[in-house]
Amino acid sequence: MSPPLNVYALADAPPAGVLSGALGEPVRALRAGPFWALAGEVEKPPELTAETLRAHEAAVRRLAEACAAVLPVRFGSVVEQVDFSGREAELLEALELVRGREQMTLRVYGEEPPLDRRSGTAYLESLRSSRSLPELDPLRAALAPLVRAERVEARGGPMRASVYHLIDRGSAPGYLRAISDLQLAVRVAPSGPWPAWSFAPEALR
Amino acid sequence: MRRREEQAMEILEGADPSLLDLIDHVLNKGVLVSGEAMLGVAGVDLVYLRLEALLCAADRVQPRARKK
Repeated sequence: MSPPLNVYALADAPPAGVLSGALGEPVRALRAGPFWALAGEVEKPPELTAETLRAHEAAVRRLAEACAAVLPVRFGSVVEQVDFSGREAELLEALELVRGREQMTLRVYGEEPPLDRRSGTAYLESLRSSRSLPELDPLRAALAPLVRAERVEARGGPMRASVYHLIDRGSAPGYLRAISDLQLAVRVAPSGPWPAWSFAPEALR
Repeated sequence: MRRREEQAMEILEGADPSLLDLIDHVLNKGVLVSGEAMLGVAGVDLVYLRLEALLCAADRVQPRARKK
């Protein structure tokens, strides 16, 4: 039986040269249908600690810098065999989306506006409007030249939403500058650039 | 499974905001290779719930999250 594989990322071409994984092990590029799984051989699944999470992220970041398009794989994806069958179309589309791009993350804080409870329709409409975060429209306008894709995850409570933006590699300084110049009705906390974690397909198969 | 949950809680309790961002990305997003991999980090549902609460709380300690 072959050793377990700790999978870091999925790509459509192997990186040039040999890169190291979270444990310093060489990352192998393994053919899996039209994809390459970028993985290191390990003896067992990693322990869940702050250090192992940082090491996994650092390994993915090295791979993202070495490849034009990678889809990061979640921490703890230790498998005997890599198989993406049945997901090819979805994954190929995602790889095209992230090619030459990276991710910025915005946490949006503030009070949710009161919802209109006069009728069921009014309630749903006000909920839909609130979840679309119209307070961010000035930000969206300012960032429009930089943002290639947006994903919003609405939350309840003091954090209204997490907003994930896909931008061209190298444009993070301009992105951060544009945000710092804005006056918004909500508070935003940006971080990044990150590999395109939030634009990798989510579905559990 | 219990030990993994305890480990996750220990990380979250002491996490700084940048680590919370990292946890959100590395644990919560990304391609899932298989269902078994999900079980490899057992207790993650609980981690996500706690993480969301802490990301909210991070608002109070992030210097960049100033009132505008």
